[in-house]
Amino acid sequence: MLIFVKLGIRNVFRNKRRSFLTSAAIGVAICALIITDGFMEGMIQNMVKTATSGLLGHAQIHSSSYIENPEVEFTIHGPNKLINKISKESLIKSWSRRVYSLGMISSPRNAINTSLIGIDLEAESKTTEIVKYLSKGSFLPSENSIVIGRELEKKLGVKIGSKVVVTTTEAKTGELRQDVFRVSGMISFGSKKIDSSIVFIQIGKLQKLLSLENDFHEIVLNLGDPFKANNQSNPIWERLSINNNKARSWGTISPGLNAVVDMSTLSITIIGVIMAILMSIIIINALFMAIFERLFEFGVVRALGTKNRHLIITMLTESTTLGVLSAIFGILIALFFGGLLAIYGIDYGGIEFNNVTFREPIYFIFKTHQWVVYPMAGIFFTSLIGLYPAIFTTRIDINKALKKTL
Amino acid sequence: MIFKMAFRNIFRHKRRTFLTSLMMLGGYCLISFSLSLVDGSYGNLIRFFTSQKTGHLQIHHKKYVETESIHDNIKNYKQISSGLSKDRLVEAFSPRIKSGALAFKKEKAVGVQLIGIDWTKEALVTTIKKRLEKGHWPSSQLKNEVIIGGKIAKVLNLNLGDELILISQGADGSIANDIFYVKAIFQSEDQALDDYSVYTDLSSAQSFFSTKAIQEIAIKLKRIDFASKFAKSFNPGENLVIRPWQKIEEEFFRAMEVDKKGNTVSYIIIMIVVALGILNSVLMSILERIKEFGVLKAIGTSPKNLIMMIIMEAQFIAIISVIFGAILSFFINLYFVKYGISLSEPMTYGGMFISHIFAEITPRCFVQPALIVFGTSFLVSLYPAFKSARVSPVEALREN
Repeated sequence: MLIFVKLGIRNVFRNKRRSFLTSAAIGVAICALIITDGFMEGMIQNMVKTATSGLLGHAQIHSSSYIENPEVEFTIHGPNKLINKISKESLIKSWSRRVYSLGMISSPRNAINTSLIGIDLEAESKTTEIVKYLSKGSFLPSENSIVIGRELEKKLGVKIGSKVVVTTTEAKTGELRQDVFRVSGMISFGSKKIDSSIVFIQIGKLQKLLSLENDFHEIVLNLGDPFKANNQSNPIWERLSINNNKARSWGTISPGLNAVVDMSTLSITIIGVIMAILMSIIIINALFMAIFERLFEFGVVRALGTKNRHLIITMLTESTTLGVLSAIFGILIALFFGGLLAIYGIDYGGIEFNNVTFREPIYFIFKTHQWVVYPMAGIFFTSLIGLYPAIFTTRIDINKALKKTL
Repeated sequence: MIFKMAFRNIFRHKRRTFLTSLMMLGGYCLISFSLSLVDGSYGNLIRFFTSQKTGHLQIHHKKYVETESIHDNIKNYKQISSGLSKDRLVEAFSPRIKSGALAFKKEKAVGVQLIGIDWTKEALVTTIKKRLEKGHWPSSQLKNEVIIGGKIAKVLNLNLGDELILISQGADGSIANDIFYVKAIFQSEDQALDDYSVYTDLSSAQSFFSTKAIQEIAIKLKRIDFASKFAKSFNPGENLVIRPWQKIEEEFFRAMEVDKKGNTVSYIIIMIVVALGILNSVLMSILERIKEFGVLKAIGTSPKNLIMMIIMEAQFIAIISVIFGAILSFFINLYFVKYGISLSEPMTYGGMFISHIFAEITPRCFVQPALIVFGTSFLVSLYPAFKSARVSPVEALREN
């Protein structure tokens, strides 16, 4: 038994050049899987961190009717009771209230439709990092100051300190309300669409403008780690969804972001299938060449009365050894390129994907499974494919094989 | 003679030829398929937004691109229009006027974009007329008729024939307000494009905004590929710019370019694996026959001819693989042209909404993989060719 295993391993090293080329090719295929996985991981982490540090936050609470139809009158039900509940949750690090409304912002030059967002600056800066997105000026120093998206600067033809008029409609009566604001800062989230359709004012001021008194539309939560926050089965979402309000984590609010995770699985599957096809052709190719080269030997071995299963064991050992060599090659190449990608990254700055605009390069992220699953899969797959040539050897006709000399 | 020998060589060992060509064929199909998928997904998206909204090119005032102000407008429309109608590349063009407004119905209000268009001309440039869900495409006689997106209809609870009040700022700084009537409601497959747009006829919009000018000319060419070239050759006049879709949807175009770069990396990896595979089988099949080459040299074949023969042999196999590969890829790609891959969750990329990925059959899906297969099989046959040409007949014959 052991001798056949030994034979198989030795066979691999009989033609070193071929074995090297074969395992190098399969190694590149394994490396491709590892690199894709690590890069996708980097992309997901980058996107989630960017998205949850911005307007989205880790989780949000709205009234159920607001989720269906975001209209000004659908404010959060029983806000005081809810806030009381939130403060008892140990998971929640901080929270902040927001008011939303649609309106028109006009300067002497232009009138543009925007979303008006009322924020509580102090609580907001503890909960999200939107203050960091400020590209110019200061963030709402007074009641009549306004922060506008950077694209609006040129469209409105305004500078810091310029006056603009905001027109919106009151929540209950639908009456038109107007007020004058002074631009205190410009904000940029990196996406043209968002940066040309968003303005911030102080929450109290917007509540007054909309006659909302102390009501608001949204509570944004910070739970420390965004990845843990997305656990749908956590009972916290149930506990906070009271009084016809609904608490949702970022994955539920922005399913597109979850889709990225699906998409990364999809791309790995596609690359996996492509590489599997290539690998099987390469392995079959290499093993058959080895068989035909040694056809005479097989004839001799079979003439001596070697059992079929022993022949199969020899061939399988040969393919598995090739697989192990490939895995080693794959890991070495992947370590090199993964390392490069982990240090330098690939710049996706300013590219929008699923409503997230990348702000930093995407880096390769090392995970243990990459270095175990893909090489193991490679070895397993090589042995599996090796079955075909192995079975083939048991069908070799002794007479023909012994006749063939060239 | 050499040609004949090379040709015959490939049929001597059918299985060896088969294995080598399998490698080339597999590589060909994979590269062809991924190219077809990339061309298809972007081709579809580009056709989608150029036919639904932007057109292939747009003409604006130089400043309008940044300001989107009603003051930065086009004054010499007549002159441009006669220039465009004479150009053979242009299929249709449509003048537009655009600005923001607040739309009211009872106590509800929503910010919209009012777009004044020429009903006849716009229908030739974009597909909006075909997307009407309810109502009819307005005729040019009646004033203040609007067609609205399904989203506005839902938010403001509007139906056909309903009144809609629009309020905005006129070009002269006055307050613009007027009553409009809903003539039709259109729907867009794409949420992002169905943004709050209200279309009315050009003259109603002009009198609403108290202006006589227009702000945008959207152009549809006979073929979209000419867009960049056309933008360079057509001179719209002083202070005006003409931009192809690559500039209009710059964010998307940039995202597409980055993604294409990423795809190039994938091709290179596939190519390396395929090339190593081809190298392996070509190398082996030739080194296996080193004794034959020794014989050939012994009877006086020049090294040059030997090299030619080996390279030719590899190229013959490549030709066979490419022919079969092209046929096979055609059917694989055709399947994905028809059925595509649907995404479980629609996503947006570069500001564009994607729910399906379709393949597309373009010439480069067949040409590029063919070049890659010919190129790699040529390169990988060089080494064994030179090696066997250099072999001394004595040594080669002694081997084995």
